[in-house]
Amino acid sequence: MRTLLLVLTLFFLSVPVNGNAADPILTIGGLTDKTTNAPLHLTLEEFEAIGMTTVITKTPWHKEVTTFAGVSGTALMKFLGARGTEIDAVALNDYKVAIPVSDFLNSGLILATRKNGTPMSIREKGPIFVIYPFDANPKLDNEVIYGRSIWQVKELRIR
Amino acid sequence: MVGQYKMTPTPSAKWLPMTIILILITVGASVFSGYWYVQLRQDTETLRSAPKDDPTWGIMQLNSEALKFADALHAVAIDNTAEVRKRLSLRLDIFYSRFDIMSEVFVRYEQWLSATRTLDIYPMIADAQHELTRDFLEIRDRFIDMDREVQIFLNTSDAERLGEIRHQLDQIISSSSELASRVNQATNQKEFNIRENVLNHLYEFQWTLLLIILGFVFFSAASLALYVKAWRAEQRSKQAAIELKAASEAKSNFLSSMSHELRTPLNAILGFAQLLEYDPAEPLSKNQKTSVESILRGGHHLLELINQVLELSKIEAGKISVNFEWAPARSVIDESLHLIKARAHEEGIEILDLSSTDTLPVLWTDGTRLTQVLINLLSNAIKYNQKGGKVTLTCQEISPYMFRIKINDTGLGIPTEKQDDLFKPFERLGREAGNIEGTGIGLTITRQITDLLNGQIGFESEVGKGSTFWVDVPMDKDGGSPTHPGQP
Repeated sequence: MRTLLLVLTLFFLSVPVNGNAADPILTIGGLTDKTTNAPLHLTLEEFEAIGMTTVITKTPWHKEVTTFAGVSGTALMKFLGARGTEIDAVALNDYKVAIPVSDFLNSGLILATRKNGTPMSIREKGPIFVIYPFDANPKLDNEVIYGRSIWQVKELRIR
Repeated sequence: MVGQYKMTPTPSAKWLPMTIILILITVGASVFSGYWYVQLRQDTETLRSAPKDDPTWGIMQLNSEALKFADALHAVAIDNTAEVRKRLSLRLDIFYSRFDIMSEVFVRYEQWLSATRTLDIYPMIADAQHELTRDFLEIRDRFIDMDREVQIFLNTSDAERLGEIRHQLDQIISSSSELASRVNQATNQKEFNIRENVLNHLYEFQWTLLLIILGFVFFSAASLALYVKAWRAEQRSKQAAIELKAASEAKSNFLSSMSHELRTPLNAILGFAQLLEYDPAEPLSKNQKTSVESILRGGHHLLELINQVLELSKIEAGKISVNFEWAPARSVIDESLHLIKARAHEEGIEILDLSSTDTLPVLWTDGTRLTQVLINLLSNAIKYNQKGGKVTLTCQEISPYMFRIKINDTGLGIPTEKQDDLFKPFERLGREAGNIEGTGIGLTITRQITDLLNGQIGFESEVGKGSTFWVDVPMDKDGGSPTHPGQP
C-alpha cells in the first residue's frame, strides 16, 4: 500500500504543463445571449476574467481538503444570459453529462480552473473541473452528483 | 362459580411449562435479533463507506483512451508534423489522467478493504482485489516507461522511437483488456457478496423480530386474559358481599320486628299472671299458685330470650349507642356485684371480690354497657357452676393502658374442642339438653359490646377445674397512647 502511494506521488510529480496560454480552453454554445450567432471560444484568461470564486472542500477524487478556484455557475449563467434548463458538459475524451441549470444557479458549484492557486493541467484533470461544495452540503455526497462532477471540460452546450 | 374453578387444575399450573418455553424462545430471539442488528449496522456502514466509483467504468474508459492514443500514434507514424504531434501530446495527457484516476480508485478500494477486515465479506473479496491492484500497477509501470519514451519523441521528433512505443502500447492494451474483464467479474462478485450478506442478515433479523413480536402478542393476550379473569372474580366477590350484607340486614330487621311483636302479648301474659298470683280478693289454691309460678318463670325466660335477640339484632344493625365517659372501675364492679348478689344467693353460689381492698383506676368506657358485660359473665359463672361453688373476681393492670377484670368459676370447664365455638350465636356447647336455661347468644352479645368499648374478651378453661373469663378495658382515650390519662 505504502509503495503504491509512493509510486503515485512520483507519478504526479512528473507531470508536465501542457498547452499555450493563447489557445482557447472552453467552447460555449446554445441558448444564451452571447452565443446567438456563433459559439463562444474562451482562453483561460478570458474565462477567469468572468469572476473567480473559491471553494475549499474534500472531493471523492481529492482526499485532502483542497482549495479550488474558478468561475461560479451563477456568475457564468449571468455572464452568458443563459435561458435553457440543462447544460451538456463535454470532456476532452468526449464524455458528456447533462447538468441542470438549477445546479449552476443554486448548488454553489464552480467550474474550477485552479487547484491550490495553480492552473490544472490535463494530467491533473484540467483545464476545467466541475467542483460541487461537498463539505458545505453533505446531501451532495452521492453518485448522481459524482457523475455530474465532470473534469477535463472542453465544451458547454446550454439547452 | 368459585367451586367450579377449584374442581379443575388452576390455569397457571397447566400453562406453566408452555409459558416458560415461550419466555425462553422470546428471550433467545431478543438476543439473536440484537446480534443480527449489530451485524446489519456493520453492513450498513460497509455499504456507506464503500467507494462509489465504478471500477469497471474506469477501466473501460482507460481502454477507450488507449485506443484513441493508438490512433494518434498511427497518425504520427504517417504524418510526423507539429500539428499531429500536438494531438498525440493531448491524447497522452488524457491517457495519463485515466491511469491517475484508476490508481485512485484502486487505492480507495484497498483502503476500504483494510477498514472492513473484520467483516464477513472481507475474505470473499479481498484476495481478488489485491490481485487486481497488483496487476494494474504492473500495467501502469509499463505505461510510465512508454510515457517517458513518448515525451522523448515529442521533444526530438525522432520517428525511430515509434516502433518501440507501438510495441509497449500493444502490451499495455492487451493486458488492460484482460484486466477489464477481470475487474468486471470481480465487481459483480463483490456486489453479489455484499448484497447476499446484507439480505441474509436482514432475513435472520426479520425472523428473530417476528418471534419477538409473536412472544409479545402472546404475553399481551395472556395478561389481558388474566386481568379480565381477576376483574370478573372481583366483580363476583363484590356482588357476593352486597348480597351477604343485604341478607344480614334482612335477618336483623326480621329478628327486631319479630321480637317487638312477641313482646307485646308476652307482657300481657306476664301482667295477668302476676295479677292472678297476688289478687288478695281471690287467693289461688296451692296447685294453682304452682301453675301460675311456672307460667311466670317460663314467661320471664321467654322475655329474656326476646330481649337478648333484640339486643343482638340492634348491635348487628349498628343501632346500639355507646357513650364513653370516665368511669371508676370500683363503682362499675360494685354495681355489677350488687345486681347479681340476689341471683347468686338463690343458686347458693358464693361470690368473692378479691379486688375489694385495691385502689382501682378510672376507665374510659360506657359504665352501663361495661356493667352489662360483667353481669353477663357473672351470671354465666353462677349458672354453669356446681352446687355450693364459688365465683371469684380479680383485677389487674396488664399494661399502662389496659385494665383486666377476671371472673373465675368452679364449674365443669369447657372442653378444648368446643372452645372455638364459644362466642358464636346460639351455641350452647351441648347444654341444650340440660336443665340450665340459656339462650346461647349471651356471650355473642358480650363480645360485641366489648368490641364497641374498644376492649377485648377471652377465657381460659380446663375440664373439671372451671373457667376464667376476662375482659380488658382501656384506661385511656385512645387505648394505646403512652401517656396515662389524668384523673377526672
